[in-house]
Amino acid sequence: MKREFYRTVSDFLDDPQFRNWVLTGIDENGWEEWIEIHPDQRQLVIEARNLLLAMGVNQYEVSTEATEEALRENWDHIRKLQTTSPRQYWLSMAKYAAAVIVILLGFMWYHKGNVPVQSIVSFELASNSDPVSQGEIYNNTSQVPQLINLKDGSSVILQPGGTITCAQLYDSTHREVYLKGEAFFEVKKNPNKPFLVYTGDIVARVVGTSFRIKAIEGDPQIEVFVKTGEVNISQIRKGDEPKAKEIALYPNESVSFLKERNIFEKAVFSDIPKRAIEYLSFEFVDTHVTEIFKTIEKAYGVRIDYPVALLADCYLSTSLTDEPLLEKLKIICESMGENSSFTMHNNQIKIKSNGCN
Amino acid sequence: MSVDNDNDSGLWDLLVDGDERAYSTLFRKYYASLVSYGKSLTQHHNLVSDCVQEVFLDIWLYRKTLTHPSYIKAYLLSGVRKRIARRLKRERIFRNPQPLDQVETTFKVEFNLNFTVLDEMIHDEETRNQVLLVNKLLNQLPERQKEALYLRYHQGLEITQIADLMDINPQSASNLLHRGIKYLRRSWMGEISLLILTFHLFY
Repeated sequence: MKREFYRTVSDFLDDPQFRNWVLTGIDENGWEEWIEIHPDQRQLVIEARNLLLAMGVNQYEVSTEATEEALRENWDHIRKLQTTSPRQYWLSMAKYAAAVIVILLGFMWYHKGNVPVQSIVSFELASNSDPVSQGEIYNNTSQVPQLINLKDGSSVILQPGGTITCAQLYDSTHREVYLKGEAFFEVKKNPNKPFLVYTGDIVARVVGTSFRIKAIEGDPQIEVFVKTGEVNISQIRKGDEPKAKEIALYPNESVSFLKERNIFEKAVFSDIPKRAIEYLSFEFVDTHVTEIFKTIEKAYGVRIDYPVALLADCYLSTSLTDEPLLEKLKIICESMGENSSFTMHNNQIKIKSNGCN
Repeated sequence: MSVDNDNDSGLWDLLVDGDERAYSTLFRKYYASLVSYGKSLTQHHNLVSDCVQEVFLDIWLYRKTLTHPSYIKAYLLSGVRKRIARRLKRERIFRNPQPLDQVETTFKVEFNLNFTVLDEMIHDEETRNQVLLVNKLLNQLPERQKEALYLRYHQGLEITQIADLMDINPQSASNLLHRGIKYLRRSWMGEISLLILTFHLFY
């Protein structure tokens, strides 16, 4: 950005050339002249300048001699480690290696009987729509949507009658859940471990985003609606069918998979976005925490308890749109400052804080 | 700043290949400012130099397997911070034993630094008074905000690097910075209009 367009103190502070001028007094970039031509920027320049001048740091004195002394010590240390250790190092490494081999052998032996050969191609295995028996199963037998925090930090809002099975959330190359019914997902970002939602006929693949899937048994179609990020949906291949169809969805897009005809249809749902979590915005600019907590309560169906009096002057600017609930709460607490934390018990969230600064 | 990092990056490449001079050059270049940063993180100044040395030592010993950091200075600062935190935690466990899980959650390094006025750059009384005022307000900010400001404007780190280093979300880091500056501006404006008011009352 050109300096003519700077509108805040931070814009000036972020400019290394500006800092250089203020801190060294050497005006390489013609700041003095520039201010003369741009009198309306003058006030911002003065504020930014005063701030920098007030932010000096007395370096703890470290003399050149002290540095050289430390460097000498450092090299002595390195030489000592390098000359004495190789032999011991290899000996100890050999011991470790032996131990690892023994453990591995044991492991392989143990698993030989239990696991079918497909452990690497869990993808294929997963295309059976029956959930793998490992992992937890959440069943929403109540009449109201239910919030589920997955172990990887993602949030799921499961509608009544829905079931979610967590097949794999950690120690694997990807995260995997099975869904029957309707749920809204906010997936914790982790580019190294894509998050896959399997329903009977399709699979949705994301790295970190929020979206709804409605896959109710007996319904003629499966619906997907994306709130943020990107979702890749593909059809689960059955038997000797040719290549699976794939489709990419972006924010505010939706698609239906018509089970009967085996095709995707970019349908215009009459009612999207329909649930609170799907249309509420989590972009807050200088917003009072009460307002932020209210939005969260509404979106997730939770109750938030917080020290009202202590947070009476607490306004935050923050973007929480693309974060799961736990991450949202963490960011809010971090933004409120030190000594802020939260606990969550069922649908009750308790915020602890000594106030904002 | 980025030219500087390009130089550092070149030195890093050389030291990975076993160039001792490149290693020494990096050491000389950053030792003082790392010690200075370390001392602002703990009262136990005697362990800071050790920690800085260990950070460098590890770079040399594990140079073949380390991934090339995108920003060398941020990498070093972050290394020093983590190393000090680890050391303090260990000592704390030894000194007053308590359940491990509590130590884990309650422990944090505490940034503690008093910003000073750069008097040699100030040439008139009006500016001096204003800067003194801002300095007073700055030093009243919570330590975390001060640390974020220090890392941003003193060490020249990017928001993402600060977040990484302080182990918080980038959005939180940006909040820390902006809230600090906003608070300063608000209080500063308040006091200045008060000054002008008193001025008008007296003259």
